[in-house]
Amino acid sequence: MSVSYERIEISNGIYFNSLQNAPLKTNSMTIHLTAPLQSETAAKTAVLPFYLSDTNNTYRTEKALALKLQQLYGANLGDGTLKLGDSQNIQLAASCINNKYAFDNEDVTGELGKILFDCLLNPYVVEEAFEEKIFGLKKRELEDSILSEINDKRPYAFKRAGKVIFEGEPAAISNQGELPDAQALNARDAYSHYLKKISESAIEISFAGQSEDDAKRVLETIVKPAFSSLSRSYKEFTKFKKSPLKPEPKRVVEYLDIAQSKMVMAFKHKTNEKIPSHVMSLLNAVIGATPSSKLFMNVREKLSLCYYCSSTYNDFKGCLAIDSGVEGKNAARAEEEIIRQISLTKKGEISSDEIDNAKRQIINSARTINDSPSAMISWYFTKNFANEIESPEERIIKIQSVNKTDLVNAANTLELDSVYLLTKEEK
Amino acid sequence: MRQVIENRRTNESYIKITHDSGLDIYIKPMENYSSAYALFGTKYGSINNRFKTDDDPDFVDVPDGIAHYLEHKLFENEDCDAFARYAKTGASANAYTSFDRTAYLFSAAENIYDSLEILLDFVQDPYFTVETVAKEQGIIGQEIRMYDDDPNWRVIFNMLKCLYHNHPVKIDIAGTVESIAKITPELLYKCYGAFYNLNNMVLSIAGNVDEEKVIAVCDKYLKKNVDKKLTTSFAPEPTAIVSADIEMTSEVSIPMFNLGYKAEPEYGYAKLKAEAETNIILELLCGSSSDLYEKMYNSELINSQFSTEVFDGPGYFCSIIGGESRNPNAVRDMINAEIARALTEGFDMTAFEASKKAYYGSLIWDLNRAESYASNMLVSAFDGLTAFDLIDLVAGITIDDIKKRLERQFDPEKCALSVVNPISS
Repeated sequence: MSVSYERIEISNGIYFNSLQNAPLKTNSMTIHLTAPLQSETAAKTAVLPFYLSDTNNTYRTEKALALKLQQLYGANLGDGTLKLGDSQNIQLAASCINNKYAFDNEDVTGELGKILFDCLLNPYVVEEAFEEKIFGLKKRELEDSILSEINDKRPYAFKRAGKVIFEGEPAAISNQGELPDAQALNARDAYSHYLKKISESAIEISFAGQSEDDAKRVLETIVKPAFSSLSRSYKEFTKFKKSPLKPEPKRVVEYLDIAQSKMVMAFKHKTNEKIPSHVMSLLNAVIGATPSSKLFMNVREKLSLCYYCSSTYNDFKGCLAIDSGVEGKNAARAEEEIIRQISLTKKGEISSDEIDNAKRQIINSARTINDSPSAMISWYFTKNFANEIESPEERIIKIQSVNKTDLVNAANTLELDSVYLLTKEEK
Repeated sequence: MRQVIENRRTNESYIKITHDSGLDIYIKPMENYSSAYALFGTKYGSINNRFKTDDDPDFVDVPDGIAHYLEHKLFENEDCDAFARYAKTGASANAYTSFDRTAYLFSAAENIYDSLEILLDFVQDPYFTVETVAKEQGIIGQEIRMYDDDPNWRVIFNMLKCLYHNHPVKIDIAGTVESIAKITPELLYKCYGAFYNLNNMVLSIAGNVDEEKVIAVCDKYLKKNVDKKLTTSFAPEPTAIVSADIEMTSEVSIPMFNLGYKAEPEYGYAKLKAEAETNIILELLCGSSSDLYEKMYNSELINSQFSTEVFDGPGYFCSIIGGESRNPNAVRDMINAEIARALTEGFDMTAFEASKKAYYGSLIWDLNRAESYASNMLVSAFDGLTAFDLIDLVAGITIDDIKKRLERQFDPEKCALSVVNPISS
């Protein structure tokens, strides 16, 4: 379909990514700031999106900003923190309806763009510190967010498992930081940390909308002026590093009062050679990322051992993780069966149907990316992060070229690295 | 019969086909879209555990959780599993059972009509045996246990148990391990025959689709169904609530709460109007731009997990306010005080206009995505409405409508607070 993508360097380490797709009725803008993930600064960085997305120097209370966003037809201004490889990424994202749907031809996109970049570059500051009272609330927000990780047991288990899988590497650090670090934050240190982040982070700005004119207008009248006076001391950094395979698989059991146990198994490559990401993507789909995968069809459907059992591949770290929801008494059997499915894959027991089904699933989801502004932004952001720029269409061609030998060779580089189990303690 | 459903305000339209088989088909071709999203749904959810058709001398009662169980089992036909068939087309397929509907869906960018054939075929081809039914009890039992660990799920069902004496909305969608043990192939066929009659169903498809090709697949695969005049029934529900408080403990760090206000159920256009007006009231009472939100947030009584929702369907209607709080009782008291204030002093006009505009904007967003378009066509069809009724309705809401609705919908005497506390406290 008629999607165009352009990437422009604004200044040292700052890029503007422009995406257009004709049928979109909305405009979306996202700013990503990426820097190394470090335990000393993780919480200090994680608190920033909470503060920056709720106020700026023009709209100094959350209430005033919320009212303004409602007046812009319910424009959305969101924030987030994520971990990518060994990096910590914070985002501010805004989206609104296209101006042509406004009742009185208001410039909804222009106004929202101005608010978004004010949030990032013109925050509410009092005497070289974030405003004390608001900062206190946002600090509390981060603390609560860390505390609430336990509520959703599947991602909680996955996060706990990550500490075992990537032990000693930046990727083991929580992207929200630890509770005592969050509790120790103060408005002055956080502001000076903010200045450092603005100066040193890799910054990717993305715009996805219907028309090139909107993108150009946002770039020329909002983005370029916003960054023109910013002094930068950005230096390239290592964004991710392949995770080494442990000499012996590590086993960790943690206890929680839950009815369904969670098990995460990690497999890593025993060789240093980098397996191309499209090969690993297809292997992951064959093993456990689709409803026609080996794990879904066998561990869940045929043997009813797990309610869910699926795999994800972290290309930055070179780690295939299999997470499952399993009854405590079935955990050992489920583990055995998962290992059996991996070893069958290594032996070449992959049918042409399994390969074709997995290819079709990946191709289908790649083809739907251009229908969603957020999916388009996320696709190109991740590709740029990986230094592997390709369009969904280019990816599809690569996926089509993978054969069974590629998959078997890739599978044979995988070895069990860790097994993490979250379960109820038997008394 | 073919009908074009249009909306002047947004210049949007879609097609409704009343098919000879008894099925209503809704099609929205979206220019330049890569993918299509299809939903084949029945007006049958977890609350429909009592029904009657022309075949039955009297109402039939079935075990809790059977609609959801049926959804799981329908994926399996005699010779093959539907997922295995979809694997040949590459479509991403799924299904869901809610309180008042079940829908089978797929999203696809290639082989769209082949996937549509699969969808129409497997949903019309039930296959239940003693063995296959028994096998599913393990999987669904695990799903039920997974929800037992989900405090978000527990906090809302505990609240519904406080609000509803008899209405089955208070029962978990998946039922219980005990109730699903009573499910047999005969009961599944019975429910299937009643609710999966095409006269009780809708096909909704949006995105990269061609009307003629959709109809060609429908003509080939839809089997003509005689309307068996299905009626459902619920035990009478008193207007009063059961109890005002409920607490439990779970593996959470901060107490979670749901505060529910029970109101009279509505149907059709009146239901849509009640939903829209109540959504605006919730925003004005305690949305992020309200005085009360600011007060509660600044005093650390709530955090950004705070949210509101209108929760309604056949025979139930309530407004839910939920989140995390270290003092949920204080939240309840402050919200009730704000309701009392608004009843006498009314709402601010600027805030009212802004929340209306925001609501309108969210409806434009829905037109952007094939998923929400298809879903809105299906849901509105089940209520006997069009997908555009809400857009026009929201544009016409006045501050007087809001005031009248507040009196009807938010009675502090009919409010229940459900709290999930951390285990240690």
